[in-house]
Amino acid sequence: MSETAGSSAEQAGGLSPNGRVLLVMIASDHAMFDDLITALLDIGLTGATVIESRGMGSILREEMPIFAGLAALIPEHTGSRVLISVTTREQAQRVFRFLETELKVANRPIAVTVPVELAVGLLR
Amino acid sequence: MKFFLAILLIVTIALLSVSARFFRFRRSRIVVALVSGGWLHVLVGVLIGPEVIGAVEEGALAKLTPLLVIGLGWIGMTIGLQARREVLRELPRSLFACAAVDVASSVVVFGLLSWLILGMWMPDAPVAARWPGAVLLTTASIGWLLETRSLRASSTPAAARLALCVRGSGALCAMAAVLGFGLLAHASSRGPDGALSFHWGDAVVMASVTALLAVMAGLIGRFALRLAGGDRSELLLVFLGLVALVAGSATSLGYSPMLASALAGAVMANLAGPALRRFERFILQAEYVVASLFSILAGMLLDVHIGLAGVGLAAALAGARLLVKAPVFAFSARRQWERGIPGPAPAPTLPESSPLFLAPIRQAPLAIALGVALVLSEASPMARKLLGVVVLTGVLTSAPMVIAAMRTGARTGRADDREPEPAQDASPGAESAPEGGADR
Amino acid sequence: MRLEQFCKPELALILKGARTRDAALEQIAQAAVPMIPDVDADRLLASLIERESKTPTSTPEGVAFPHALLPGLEQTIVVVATAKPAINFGVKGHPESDVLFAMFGPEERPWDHVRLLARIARVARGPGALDRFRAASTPAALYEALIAEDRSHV
Repeated sequence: MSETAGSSAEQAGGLSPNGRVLLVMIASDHAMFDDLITALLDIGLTGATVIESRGMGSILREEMPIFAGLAALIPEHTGSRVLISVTTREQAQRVFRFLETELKVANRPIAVTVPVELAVGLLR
Repeated sequence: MKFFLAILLIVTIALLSVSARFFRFRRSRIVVALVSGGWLHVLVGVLIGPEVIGAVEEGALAKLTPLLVIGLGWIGMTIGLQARREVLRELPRSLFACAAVDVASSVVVFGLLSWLILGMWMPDAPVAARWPGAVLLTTASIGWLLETRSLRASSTPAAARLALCVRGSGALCAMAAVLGFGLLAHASSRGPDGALSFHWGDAVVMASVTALLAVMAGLIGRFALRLAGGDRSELLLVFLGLVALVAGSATSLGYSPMLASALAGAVMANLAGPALRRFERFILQAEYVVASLFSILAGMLLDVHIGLAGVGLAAALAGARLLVKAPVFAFSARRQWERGIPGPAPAPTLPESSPLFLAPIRQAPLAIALGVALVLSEASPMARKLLGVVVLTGVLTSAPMVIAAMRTGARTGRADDREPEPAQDASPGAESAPEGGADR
Repeated sequence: MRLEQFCKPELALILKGARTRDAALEQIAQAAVPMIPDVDADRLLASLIERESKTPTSTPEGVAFPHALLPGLEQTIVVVATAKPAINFGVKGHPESDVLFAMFGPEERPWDHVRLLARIARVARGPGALDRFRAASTPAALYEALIAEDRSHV
């Protein structure tokens, strides 16, 4: 089922208030990930995809360790998680409000939204 | 005032060297091969130390002891924190086997070599006087520099697997070196007349007290981390407190601060908890800064006037690494390959030749830390000369690897620098990834 | 999702003298019945016990989340309770639970149920939240504490 994510205003280059956005979050702190997922579920973001990932710094350090050669095998130090979800702008704003008000700066993931023009396969 | 300015200078240089601007230089394989051993920082230390420019005077060096103890504690804890049960259980036996072969061969070859050459260097000294130097040079020879970036010619699964073998078994060797040095170097003590004597009973007591100290520190550390939370400043406070307790107590008792900290790190690594994981991350992320700082301090401590005997000793050790380490590693890696080294499945064919087989030639940066530990415990001119020998050995063993790095292709991140894929990956399941992708 | 949509002042309880898990769940079912037409207390209790027997819902923090999905329910109900003395929910290694959040939801909307559980988990994990619930001496105070905690989250 194909779907255009928004009104003609969006197609013309603007964004409708309920237009879809792609929410991308990079969480490197494994300890807070559980809280993050719980909060997203509460807010209503139920269709996210989580990708196990690694930061560039981790890859660079992996090939050039000085004393910690086994650290590359310890998942908490090598991995991060990327969470992506196509959602409404309003819901993304709620997510951002949560990130800004309820998480300490040190625990906050990186989060960005990208406008979505066309989408297919999304469940209503 | 001069002392504090000296500290400021050292810290500034260390921070600059790990800044983003300098990190960009490390994209070049040649630069990586040159600087990974810390030799550049050691050279900076030599230049600003009392031997050359004199920005840090001889008298100020004694005041650096607390900083050195903290550095040794940090390095020990970094190594110990890797000894987590669930990680070690998952490591294939092949890595332990490669490490065991290296430890055994290093003890035999380098132990004998250093014992003989030290005898020639100190012909008038009693035989026992060679012990601290022989222990240092033998344990410094265990393991190798863990950096593999400069030696990876290609991004094939086989190369990735071999690189993992280099890093994994090298890391295990580092643990053995810290344990060996900590137990053996402190098994002897100097009497009032300067004569060396061995007290094996005291060595057992030392080992027991060190272990007890480590367990205590590990439990205190766990408790402190629960109270601290995740803030970096709190983690730093916990760390400094722990290191002061463990490394400081061990030093004041005449024991090895690095061994005590390593054991404490191992105890902490095996206590579960999210706070502990944040602490580990904090320690490991500071690896480069601490290594830079420590190398600069080592450069200031060492004695450059090692004479022909010292140069000869360093050359002999470097030559032995060239002739023994690489073939021994290649032999044990080939024997163990079939038993499984972690990497993408199915097991790719081991390359017939690869620059990675030369990785064990390079001396590990841990050798510098062991040398500094000896200087702290012995406080003798000979100990500072031996630190100089260790550093020179490291420089000499890095030189051939720079040539190897040049031959593997100097620049990274450019598709047109792709090396022709070696013929060993002719099996249907083998993959080859673009050269540029692996080095971004 | 705001808890005040699903929890009313009548659904805040201070359980005294409920010595067993089933006794506590019975009191909770009795409190929920007026809010759920066409379902009797026995059925509510049976559904809670059935669910609890499959996988106990107590946590190491001393909180329990007994819940059940029932066919034909029109709305979700949340009951909040504190128990004095605390109640053993039968999980080895977990302390007895003295804060309980019970939920009854429509079987046809399982995702809403999961979302609400997530909401309750967030509210309960807020700094000092459990202590404030435990300190409430009356059902009204408990309800006010819950709503205040709920409103402090996005």
